[in-house]
Amino acid sequence: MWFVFLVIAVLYVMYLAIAIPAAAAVACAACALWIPVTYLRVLGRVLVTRPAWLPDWKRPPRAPGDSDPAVLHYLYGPALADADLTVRVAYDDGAGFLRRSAARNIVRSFESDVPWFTAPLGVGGAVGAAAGTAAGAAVAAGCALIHLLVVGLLAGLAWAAGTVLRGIDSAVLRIRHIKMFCPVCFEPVPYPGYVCPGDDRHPHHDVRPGRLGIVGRRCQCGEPMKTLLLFGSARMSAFCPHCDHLLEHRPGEAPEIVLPFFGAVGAGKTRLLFSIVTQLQAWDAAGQLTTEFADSVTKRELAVAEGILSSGETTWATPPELPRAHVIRLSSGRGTRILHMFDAAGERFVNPGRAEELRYLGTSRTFVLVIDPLSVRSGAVPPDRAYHRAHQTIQAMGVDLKTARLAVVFSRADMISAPDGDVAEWAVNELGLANLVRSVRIQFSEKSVFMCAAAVMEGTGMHPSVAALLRWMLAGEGVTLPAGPS
Amino acid sequence: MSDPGKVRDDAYRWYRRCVFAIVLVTIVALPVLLILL
Repeated sequence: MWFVFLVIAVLYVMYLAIAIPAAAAVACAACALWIPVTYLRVLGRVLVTRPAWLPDWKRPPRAPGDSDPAVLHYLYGPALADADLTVRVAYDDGAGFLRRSAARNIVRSFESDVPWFTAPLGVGGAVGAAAGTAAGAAVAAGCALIHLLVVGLLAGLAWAAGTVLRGIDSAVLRIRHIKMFCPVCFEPVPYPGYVCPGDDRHPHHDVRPGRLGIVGRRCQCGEPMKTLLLFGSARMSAFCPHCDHLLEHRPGEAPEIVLPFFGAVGAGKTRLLFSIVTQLQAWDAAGQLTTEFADSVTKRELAVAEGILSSGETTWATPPELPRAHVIRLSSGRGTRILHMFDAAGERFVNPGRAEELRYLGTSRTFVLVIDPLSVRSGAVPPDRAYHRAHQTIQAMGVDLKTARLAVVFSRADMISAPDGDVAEWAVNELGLANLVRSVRIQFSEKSVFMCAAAVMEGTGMHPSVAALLRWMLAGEGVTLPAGPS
Repeated sequence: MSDPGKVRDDAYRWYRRCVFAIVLVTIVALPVLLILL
């Protein structure tokens, strides 16, 4: 009898020797595989399939309160939040698996009808599950670490790419001599703001690469936007980041030239401006270059220029308010330029303290002084005052007069007998402007004196003096103006 | 009014897929590289 028991005991020990390690090995392998697989499955859910039941981020990343209304770039916070969500969901799934499968089966193995048979399996399973869980958790942690490293590396690359792209964009603007300028508040625009193309209630003050996007960004309404002029942001509606006025002239596409006209009251600045516009339109009509009003205000105010000049009507007095630039887009074979022409009221150059408000004077390189010789002869308004006031203002605004250019334009050339020789000499001898001419010669490195007639000639178009003045004004600005009279 | 969650998911869709692909490739490639080296 004892022999039978001995055999059974030996057989049971043999069973234990096989069953416990085998159960441990199976449980260990199952747990060691299942946990990383769970992590990868969850990673796929979080990053690819995004089922609706997926919980929200625990700590949603947010852009600073004063930032633009755009979605945060994925690599600037949300990617880390996704990594955190993956770990949390994978942990919950893994713990659930251990509770549902491993722990339950181990407990059942002790409660079965044949515990002597199943309990060793439970013991082996428990040991194996513990070892497998540790191994699987280590592998899953390795996967999570790789996820974090990939996110960190991509975020670093995104930051570097953004910095490089900003640098390239700035370099391209510098190489193309593009400096942007607001025609309303006169402030230099380092970079325009843009209105969302999908919803104009969403202004973006700084679209350049950063935490809201590298190559593109997405407005909070879902509309995609470009981040750089390099990528075509100029096609969106721009606005001035200082005064929020719309910049309809598509800043950033072409170099901008600021041309201020100054002179005493009634000197003929507005008529000269009209005649310049009419001359440009004449060249455009002849197919020699392309001229277009670059914003709606300019179009409204200058569309009548040719009609007024042709009919001989007098132009209205320029209001004493701060002027707004008349913006004209000029395209010739050599490229496109944006002209900002300022026609400020003469009172601003006579009354003290008013010229200083014309901050655009500080951004210009070419200035146009307009003098009415008839007024000088009558002694009504001495032009020296306007000149000196403007000169002081220009100098006070930091303009380097060694590189500045001044055109002195005597208007009404059609109403007085034009001098045969040097206009400057004529101004000194006939108009008694020796002091003014001397000051101009001393104070500006490049200057020229013109006689202009803001008149449309019968059959030949604009008086040829206007074309000559335009050629001088835009010389060296990269615009090829047609040679000779139009 | 657009749903911010949907806008966000739309904006992140391809970034997430790329990150997933890179993580998977790295997880597979890293042990292989470690063994080879």
